[in-house]
Amino acid sequence: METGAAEAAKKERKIELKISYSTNKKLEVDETETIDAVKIAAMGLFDIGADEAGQYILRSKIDHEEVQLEEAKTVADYGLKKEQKVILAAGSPFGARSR
Amino acid sequence: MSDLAVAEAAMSPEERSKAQALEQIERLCEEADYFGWDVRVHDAGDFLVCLVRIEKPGGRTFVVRLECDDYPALAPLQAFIDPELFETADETTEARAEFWPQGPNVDPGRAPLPVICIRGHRDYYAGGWHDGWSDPPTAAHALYQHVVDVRNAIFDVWA
Repeated sequence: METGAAEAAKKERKIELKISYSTNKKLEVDETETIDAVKIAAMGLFDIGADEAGQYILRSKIDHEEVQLEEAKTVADYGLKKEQKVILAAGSPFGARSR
Repeated sequence: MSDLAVAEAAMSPEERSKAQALEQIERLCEEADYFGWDVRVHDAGDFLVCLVRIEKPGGRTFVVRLECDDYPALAPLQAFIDPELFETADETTEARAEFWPQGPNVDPGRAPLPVICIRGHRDYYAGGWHDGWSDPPTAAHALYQHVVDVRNAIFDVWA
């Protein structure tokens, strides 16, 4: 059974990000989660299957500069804040050449 | 029938098309602070023309024009125009190859003007080059996402 302090600490590690794709949707994440896990959860918000994970990336502004978030890092590594906008984007903006 | 459905049923096809294009354009406006673009909309009568100015950090400035005639039955017709004309441009403003970005996935020879290989504009699907356009379009092909992808290509790849 968790103590009140442990529960409070766990709650503190949760933040809500604003995931932007076709529209903005909120996603609660744990600060210890990897960016890869956040990406898959974000894709789920927009009904994009996890099997397409290789085709998508996350971007956000870190110290006022937009960067692609590295998937092995965690939410805490980037210091993502409550309600921070995180962009779900195609890994390559280009379509496949079908002809 | 809901009030919204009644209102939509009373619209002409042109009005319905403009309403659906405007919904996408409003999304572009909402995200202007994050993406750093400027958006203008011109009412061409039967359809809307969306103009988006995108400045590559330390590089060129581009203006993408999207003519939304019969959107979303048809994908928008895309062109790059003189960035100096952003404030006054409309559907008659001349597009020239020199205003297109340069780099990979810009096909200079497919049409009279270059064609970019990014989902969400009419020439991308023309002649069966690609498939994927639907009415309504999926999020990955919609006007808003098209502009996001163009902006990312300008920032990351094109000059």
